Amino acid sequence: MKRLICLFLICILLSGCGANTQKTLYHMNTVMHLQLWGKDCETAAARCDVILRDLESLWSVTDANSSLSAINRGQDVKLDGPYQALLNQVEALSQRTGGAFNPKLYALSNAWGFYNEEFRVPTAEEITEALSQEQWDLGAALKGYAGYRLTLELDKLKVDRAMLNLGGNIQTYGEKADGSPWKIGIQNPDGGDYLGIISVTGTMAVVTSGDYQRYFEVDGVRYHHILDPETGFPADSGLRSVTVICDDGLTADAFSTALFVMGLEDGTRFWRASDDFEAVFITNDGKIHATEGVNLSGCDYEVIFR
Amino acid sequence: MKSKYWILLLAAALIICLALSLMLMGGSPVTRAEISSEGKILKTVDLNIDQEFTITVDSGTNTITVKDGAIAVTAADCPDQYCVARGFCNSGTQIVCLPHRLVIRFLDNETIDGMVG
Repeated sequence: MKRLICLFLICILLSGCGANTQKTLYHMNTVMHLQLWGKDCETAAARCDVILRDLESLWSVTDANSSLSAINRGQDVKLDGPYQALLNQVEALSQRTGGAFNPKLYALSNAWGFYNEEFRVPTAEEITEALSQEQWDLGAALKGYAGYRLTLELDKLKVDRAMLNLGGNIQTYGEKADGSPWKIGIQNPDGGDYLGIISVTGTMAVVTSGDYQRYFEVDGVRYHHILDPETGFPADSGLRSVTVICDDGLTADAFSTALFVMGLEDGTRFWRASDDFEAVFITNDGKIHATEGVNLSGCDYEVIFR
Repeated sequence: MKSKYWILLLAAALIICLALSLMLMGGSPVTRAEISSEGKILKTVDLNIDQEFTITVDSGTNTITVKDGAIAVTAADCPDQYCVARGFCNSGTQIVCLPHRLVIRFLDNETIDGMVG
């Protein structure tokens, strides 16, 4: 009997670990890693794959056949209700950030070569011209929206819980088996280990915008991919990265970009005027500042109070 | 005599359980990395053993170097060279060569559930 109990204990210890299904996917020019727990996770993961592919074929700005490219060419595109709602929501978020998050910078990103990998510093005329072309680009919002969209599906398919890594964006779903919070490491902008750990409970989006994610160098100057809609140049606000924690993935994605463009001071002001997200700022000198609602551990940081 | 035998057995089982749980959940430093492409694991490497090797997939070849407990893509025939730019890493977000669909993921990072960034 005792032997049986021991065996049983060992089995429990072993079975508590590991996702029921793990899947690596390539969508939206990035690598996605899905971990799902619950019944019939294989089916759910396959559904996620289809949804991500559909979102990409609708909204990819680099795919000439996407609906977004058609809209950018000035064609009259009839969008399904939820998709028109997405564009409306993106515009509303842009307005809330006073334009710091601007979803219509496709021509500008292109002028810098961030899409065709032919990196170059555009001239002042080229920047003015590119800024005048209001062409949609959901690059700073689509992965966040995708996280939200996938949680709807996981809900429908009654998946117990999930950890979705959508190319550096994290979307958690449900509670962990032992009731402890999800622990998410923030990437050190200089590479290597994580800087600190954010703990979140339940279904939550955690998104980072950083100057280290996509960049090129000319004459020793680094030009990164987060462009300031005011100047047309890479945002130079004194930050290395901003991480936003929010229960809505689209909002988290859009605001991480917006706060990066705003910088610590304006970003703090924006946070104080809002009540639907928390943020972690990493400044150029490596200091970490976190809004008071963030559960951050493993690093020294300054708390930003209301 | 018989009960002594049982106590010993129970103690041994307990130690095994403890060791297993420590191995599975403990915050031991990352010592292994997994190299995969298209979701298929091609190789796992022990970061404590210095080595250099190449991984060739349909779309190209990456040279991977393990040195002093860290791993890097030290050469690649991909167009963007982002994978090489990452340099040597021993933890953190995965190293990715998107053109070759090659992913180097750090294992045993049991203290966190995910990485953002």
